[in-house]
Amino acid sequence: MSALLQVSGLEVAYGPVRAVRGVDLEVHQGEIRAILGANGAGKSSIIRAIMGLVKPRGGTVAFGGQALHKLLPHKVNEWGIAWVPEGRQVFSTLTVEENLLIGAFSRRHGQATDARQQQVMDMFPTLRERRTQLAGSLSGGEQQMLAIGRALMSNPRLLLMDEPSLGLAPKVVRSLFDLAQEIRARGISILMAEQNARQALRVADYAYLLEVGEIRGGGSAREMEASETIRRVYLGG
Amino acid sequence: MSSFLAAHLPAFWVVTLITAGLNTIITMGLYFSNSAGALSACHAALAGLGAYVAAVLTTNFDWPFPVALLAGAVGGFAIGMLLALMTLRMNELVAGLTTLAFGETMVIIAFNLDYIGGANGFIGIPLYTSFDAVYPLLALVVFAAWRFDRSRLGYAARACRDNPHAAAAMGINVPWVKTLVFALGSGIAGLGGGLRAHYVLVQNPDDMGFFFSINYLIFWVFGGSYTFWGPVFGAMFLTILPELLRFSLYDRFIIYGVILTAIVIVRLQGVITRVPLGRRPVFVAWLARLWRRPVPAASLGGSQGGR
Amino acid sequence: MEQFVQQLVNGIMAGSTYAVVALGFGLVFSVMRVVNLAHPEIFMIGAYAAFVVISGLHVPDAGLDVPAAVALFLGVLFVAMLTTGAAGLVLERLVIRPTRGTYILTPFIATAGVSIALQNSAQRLFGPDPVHVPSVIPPNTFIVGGVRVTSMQLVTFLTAVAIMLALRYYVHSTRWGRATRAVAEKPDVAAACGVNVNLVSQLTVGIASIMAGAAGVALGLLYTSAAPFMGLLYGLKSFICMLVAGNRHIEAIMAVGLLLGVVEAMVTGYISSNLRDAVAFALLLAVLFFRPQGLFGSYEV
Repeated sequence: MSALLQVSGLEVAYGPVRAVRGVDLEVHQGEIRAILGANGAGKSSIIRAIMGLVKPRGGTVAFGGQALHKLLPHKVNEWGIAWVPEGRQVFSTLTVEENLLIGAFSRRHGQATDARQQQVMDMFPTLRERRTQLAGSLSGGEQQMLAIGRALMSNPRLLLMDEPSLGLAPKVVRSLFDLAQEIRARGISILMAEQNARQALRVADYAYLLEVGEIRGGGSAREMEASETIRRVYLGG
Repeated sequence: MSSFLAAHLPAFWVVTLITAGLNTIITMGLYFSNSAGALSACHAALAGLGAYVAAVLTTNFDWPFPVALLAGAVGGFAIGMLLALMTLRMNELVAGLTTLAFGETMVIIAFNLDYIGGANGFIGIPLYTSFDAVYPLLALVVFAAWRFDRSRLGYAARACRDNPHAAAAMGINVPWVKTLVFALGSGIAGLGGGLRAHYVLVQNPDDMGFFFSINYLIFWVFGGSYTFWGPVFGAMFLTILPELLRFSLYDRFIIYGVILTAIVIVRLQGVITRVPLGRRPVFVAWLARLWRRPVPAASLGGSQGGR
Repeated sequence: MEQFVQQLVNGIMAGSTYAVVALGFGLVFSVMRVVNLAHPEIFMIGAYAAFVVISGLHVPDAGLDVPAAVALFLGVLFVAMLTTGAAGLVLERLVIRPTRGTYILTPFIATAGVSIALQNSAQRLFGPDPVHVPSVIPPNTFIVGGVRVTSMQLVTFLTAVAIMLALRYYVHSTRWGRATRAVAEKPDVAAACGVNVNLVSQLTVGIASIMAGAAGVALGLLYTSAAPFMGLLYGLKSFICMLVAGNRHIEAIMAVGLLLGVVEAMVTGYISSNLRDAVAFALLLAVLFFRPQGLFGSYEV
């Protein structure tokens, strides 16, 4: 079965600095795949390149057969990929409800969007409570929920999550990854960039190891967990 | 020298050269003012201040020309320092916009001060400026800029411009450096203004306005703002160019405006690179590229910045 | 007391147009982080458009009855807004879009070039002296509770208020207005949510230009003149309003515009009319010294 998302030979550079060097990866329908790596390894750059926020210097990105790497971000979103940015990045001057509505911008407004909004608020009851509050007044965990809810509003087939656990309390992190499993159960694939290897490997089907812009290894989550190097470097023995 | 030139060049060219020299001096002031990251959008007003001070002293009080010029420079220095202190806490853009407003305020004050002529300007200024006065002073200013670039103050200023937090962490007194270089630049502007007043023989409040300040900014940016040769080239080129385009007044400025916009869009977009000290200035690298001469990568500057 | 209220009313009337022009500046700046120096010239184009239409129709000075006058006014407004809107869209596509997002000075200088070209084009086309714009509205004066208000002042004020209300509605209650607010805050995230940022950019400049055009018509008729450099002082003051108010809330810019008008009127009435133009700058220096981010806060630049 061909992959939903196919990235080949991706090259991303900022001036003379090559952040991503010849990266190949793929995500199949209904999977959670993780990109593991330290700070600055290039994980965010890969995510941003897929989303169209940064123009790759080389390589291709294909989604359901459609070549994406030349498209602007809003078009990528229209094709069915949504982004949960690093650090939440909710629109703090908009209300919770308005944040959700923006998430659905690429879809015509109407009954489908309203239904979607209800679904998201069912998933995150706190958001329903705080519907008319300004997003800037929410706590870190609530903002993360909002960011994910907002991404789900466009009915994506693939969710890109950039360091979702960053800056969150451990209890919240656990429920976050449980949530990822719930999203997968609804048929949405996930590609996540994570530093927290333990939690990521708990829920992922497959993981890649990224070091200094290059994929240094990849395998099923079980394989990765069992590997000596991974245990020592990323899981603390 | 002046008489030599007068004998061999048509008067038109002598005038143009002197004007270019005056513009270059004032633009060099801008080089200093902006070297620590500030943006002086009132430079013409500061020059005008120096002009008024020097002119009043020579015309009304018969002070010797050099002393009056110096007084004008001191006036520019003082007001520049005041302005720098006022904008210390603001972010770059707001500070720049404040200097803009400050300059316009000075224009309005000049309009309303009858002692210096009010709306009609200050007239009757004696003609003291000549080629012999302008170019030696210009050479002096350029020399000062060259020494400045290699001095501790120059390095400190550039550090403040590139990364104020890192500069402070290295022990540089950022507010003091920013204020000092801004004031220095304003003093040079005052000097240039005084020279100009004694050439044009009239000083109007309008000459201090935003339009002229923008002109100096354009000279500065056009030539390449990260090296002192930039303002020299920019001021000279952009002063002499309109003289070569001598058709109707309005058409000339329409073309000037269009050329300006076009150049900014085509050239400056993403091409404002940082030139390491001692390398060839940006515009020379650009010219070399035009002639297809291989340019060593180093002289095109370092990273183009983050995403 | 009577004089106080009179000046207050005069000030609010004048301030409303400052507010409209300032809103145009503020909108473009907060959404695109661009200072559009050609904005005052677009305002000037609006005034000249009114001049061209009205003189072209050979309307006698104040010789119309009320319904015809209102219809003509609205017609002129419509044509001017169309013209300036188009000009704004061209400006956005050719000058602003290539230069936004880069070094802050670049769009500043690029639009400065455009403004120079526009000012001198106006001089070329219409001459350096102000041209007379025939007054369309019959010059009635209403006296309400001891306060005199001319019909033109009223029309100007009502136009300004209508525009401000329309803008507020757009920004807060429509899909694209919401998208505009999102782009102002975080353009990357907005783009990833499906918002076409280029389109928002065009819309924003277009709206700002339409507003400037309307203000130009109103002012051209109020002072019955249009001049090539009329944008300068007006633009500068509106610009200052934007700086003083901060660019976080458009209501703030509206308020500061009105405030400026009122303070100027007070200074003119009680102290001296020579100082009127200095009020704006004094206000700017005073506010920015204590609150560099503007009275009501700004986004990070």
